[in-house]
Amino acid sequence: MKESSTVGRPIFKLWVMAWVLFGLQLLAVDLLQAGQAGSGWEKEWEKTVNAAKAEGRLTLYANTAYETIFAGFQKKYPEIKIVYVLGRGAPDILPRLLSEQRAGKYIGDLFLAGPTAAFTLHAAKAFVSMKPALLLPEVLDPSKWWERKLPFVDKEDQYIFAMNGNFRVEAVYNNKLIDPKELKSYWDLLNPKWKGKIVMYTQPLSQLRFYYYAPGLGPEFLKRLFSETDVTPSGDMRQISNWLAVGKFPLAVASPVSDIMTAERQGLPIGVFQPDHFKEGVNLVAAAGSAALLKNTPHPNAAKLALNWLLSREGQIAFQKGYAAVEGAAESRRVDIPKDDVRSEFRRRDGVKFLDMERHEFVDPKPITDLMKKFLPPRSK
Amino acid sequence: MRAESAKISSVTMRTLLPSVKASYVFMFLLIGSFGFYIVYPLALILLNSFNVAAIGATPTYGLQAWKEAFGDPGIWRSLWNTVKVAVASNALIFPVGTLIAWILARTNIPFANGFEFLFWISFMLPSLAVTFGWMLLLDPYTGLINIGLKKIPFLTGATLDIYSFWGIVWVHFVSGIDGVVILLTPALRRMDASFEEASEAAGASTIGTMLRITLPMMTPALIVVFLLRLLRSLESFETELLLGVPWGFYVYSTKIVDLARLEPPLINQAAALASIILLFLAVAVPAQQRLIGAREFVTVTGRFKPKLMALGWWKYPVLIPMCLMIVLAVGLPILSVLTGSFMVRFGYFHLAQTWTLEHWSGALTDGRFILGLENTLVVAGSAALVGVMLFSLVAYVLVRTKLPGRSILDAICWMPSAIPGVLAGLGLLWFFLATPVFRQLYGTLFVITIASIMGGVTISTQIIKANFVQLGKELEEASWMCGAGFWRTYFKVVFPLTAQTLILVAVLKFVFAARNTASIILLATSETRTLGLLALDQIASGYPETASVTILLVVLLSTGVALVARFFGLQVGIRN
Repeated sequence: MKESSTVGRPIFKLWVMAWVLFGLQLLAVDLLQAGQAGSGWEKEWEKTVNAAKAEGRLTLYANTAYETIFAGFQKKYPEIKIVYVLGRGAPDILPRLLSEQRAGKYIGDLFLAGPTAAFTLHAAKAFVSMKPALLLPEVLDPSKWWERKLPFVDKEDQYIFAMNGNFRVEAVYNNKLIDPKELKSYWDLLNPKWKGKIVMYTQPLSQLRFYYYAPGLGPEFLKRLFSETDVTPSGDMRQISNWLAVGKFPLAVASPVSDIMTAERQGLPIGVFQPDHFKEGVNLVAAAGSAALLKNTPHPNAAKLALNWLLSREGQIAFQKGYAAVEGAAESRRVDIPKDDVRSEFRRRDGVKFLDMERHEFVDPKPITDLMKKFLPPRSK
Repeated sequence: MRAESAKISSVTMRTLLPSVKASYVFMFLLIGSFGFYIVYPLALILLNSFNVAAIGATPTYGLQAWKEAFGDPGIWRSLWNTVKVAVASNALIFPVGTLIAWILARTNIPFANGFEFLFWISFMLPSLAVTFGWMLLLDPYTGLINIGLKKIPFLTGATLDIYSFWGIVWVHFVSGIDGVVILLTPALRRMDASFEEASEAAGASTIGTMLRITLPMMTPALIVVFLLRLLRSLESFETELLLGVPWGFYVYSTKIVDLARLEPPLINQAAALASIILLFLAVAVPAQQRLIGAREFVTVTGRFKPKLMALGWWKYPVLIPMCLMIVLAVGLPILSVLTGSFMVRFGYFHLAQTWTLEHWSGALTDGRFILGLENTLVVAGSAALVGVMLFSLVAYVLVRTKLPGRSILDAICWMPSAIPGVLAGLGLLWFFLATPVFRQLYGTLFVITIASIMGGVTISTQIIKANFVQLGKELEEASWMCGAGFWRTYFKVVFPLTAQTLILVAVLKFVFAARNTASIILLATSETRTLGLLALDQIASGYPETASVTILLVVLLSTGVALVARFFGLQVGIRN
């Protein structure tokens, strides 16, 4: 018994040593690989940063919110002068950018606005793939993003990056005139008691896509909304929130939330539904929170640097805060950043039906325009 | 005498343009450069109206956009609405404006200069600000006047609704009358009193003299101002957008804006609709040329006698409606915009916190403000100085020479007014990108300066032209006979006689350039942003109240420029 134990001990020691050596070897290989990989992206990153500083300029075709969002980038890289091309949204930026590219004048580096406009530009081949430009491991790591995937929304999965993804119920109300419990389903909007009391945002029509594509709603819902409710179309967000506040129209559908949230903050009686309020679910929107890399960018390194910064943890914290301050609501699709500043009405949550409206499958507004032409009574007086 | 005059004219032309050949080359260059700048973008817009491909796709051409634009059942009703608004508002604006201008220029009403300057200030207020001001007063729910009306016994049910046809006409009336006054007053001031004296000596009353002598002598200026008013009515969209669309009242221009602001924009359909104004001009411009060309309207001659009509005991009763008009056109809009700039939310008096300094501090501490101010001074200053020199040269050529092609040049100068701002910006973008010289400069302040200098070509040229039509040649001829050359004659004779008009045009150009956004928005970047564009970006960022402060600062800047210019104008121009 004693003999066997003295024989067994060296064998056990050898066995332990073998495992330790094996473990050390694995660790060394891991460290080596990690070191090699690290030096790879770090070298590339350093090269990009230096080249971007040498380029000294970055031109963003963007929504106005990005002037606030990029303040952090400007502070971090003061050597790079940022020039913004803003305009009054997509109807200005689209024809301008396309006309410039057609004339061979490539001025812009990044396009930072809504996916609807981005899809039009993508169809005109105004973008190049973003993937080769993404360098930072924290940006490329799918686990850092919602649903563990990089949120590209185009068919090819490489051109349009929808970094924003907040929930948004496509209806708001005057909280002095309407008890939200009266509406449990979007179909309740067709109740004759709301006839003539609904205002609808129509410029652009993209907000209406939710009603068209959401399961349980669809063309039939839109057809009846247009034809039965005497809905008033408006292209002016400010006007909509004013009408809501004074009770001219106690309900608004498909309205962007920027001025709605400003009005609410200023103390006007405006109510925003919680994402789980309507049984048909909620819209998941990027609003103007998408990014794309323009073709023949004049400052390729500055563009790369800005894109990686924007999609990094630091950049997405700045985005979520800055975008919400200007446009009313935002929640980055990055999951490793604080979400305390996202209001519950716009925050993604489990167990709620949603439709990712920014996906390429839901881009075409034509069926909605056709329905509108056919069923919305002409209001010209 | 005629032979002598012809001899002098030929001497003059020789001084200005050394030979007939050179004068033809000069005219060719003038038509070529103006035509290229004005007609080319217009042609690009028209060409685009036939492009049936989706935005971004390779162009294919057809009539689809025209069919769809004019196939919209609402378009004919909106055209009819445009006519109704234009007729109703101009039926009020034109006679009242003309009467006010006549009172200011031809009578001895007290504070005439002060009144005229206040109308200048009214003219500087953007129509959007005036509309907002009246919404603050006449909104059926929150309007101050309506709230006041509800407190008056027996009037509790009465509401003045700004969101109505007459609400739109009212805002046009109070915001449009200033244009007529400031354009006609200098023209009326150049009226030789001897004509009126002759009329009165023949037994005509003051009103009879005004209607039979003064106004007919003013035909060129009246026609120009009337046409400009009509074009303004066709183009106007901000007031109708805010006050008409809420109750389904569309006009032609709001339809164009609707199409151009869609996502993606339907530029082709918008361009097809815009062609209607071209048709209007095709009729109106030759008619205007014929009317002015048919007679002579010289009111300033060597025997020019400036004299004012005495109003007598009417002096003070006339002051009352004049003051009322100033209150409506200047006082209330400025007061309401100023009040709104201190409110947490414009128009809401019942909020927990109503007043704030946040918008003013927001505007004044906005890091972009200084750069915007610098850019505005460069752009608007250049537009005022270079624009006046350029357009006075064009007007001089149109009126004073017999060079061939003048009617073509005149028609070219009317054309830009046919294109609504929302499309003019696109036309200029395409123009600058398609022209190799300008393409190199694209994105710089230079391109925006060029666009601003050339902006308002119609109004500038036509005002100066109407001024030259009134000016007799004999003063210039006398100067030449005394041996003065072209430039000495220009500065010693022509300039003092036209100084007030030229300064008026310079101020107008400064104001337009400082607050213009539509035609330069597609050419600007954050580096070349003017204060007008900054205000637009502030609105887009959700700070319309801060934007209203920026606009007020633009008005303040313009008022300062107008004050200086007016002081200078009164020093050198004809006064009573």
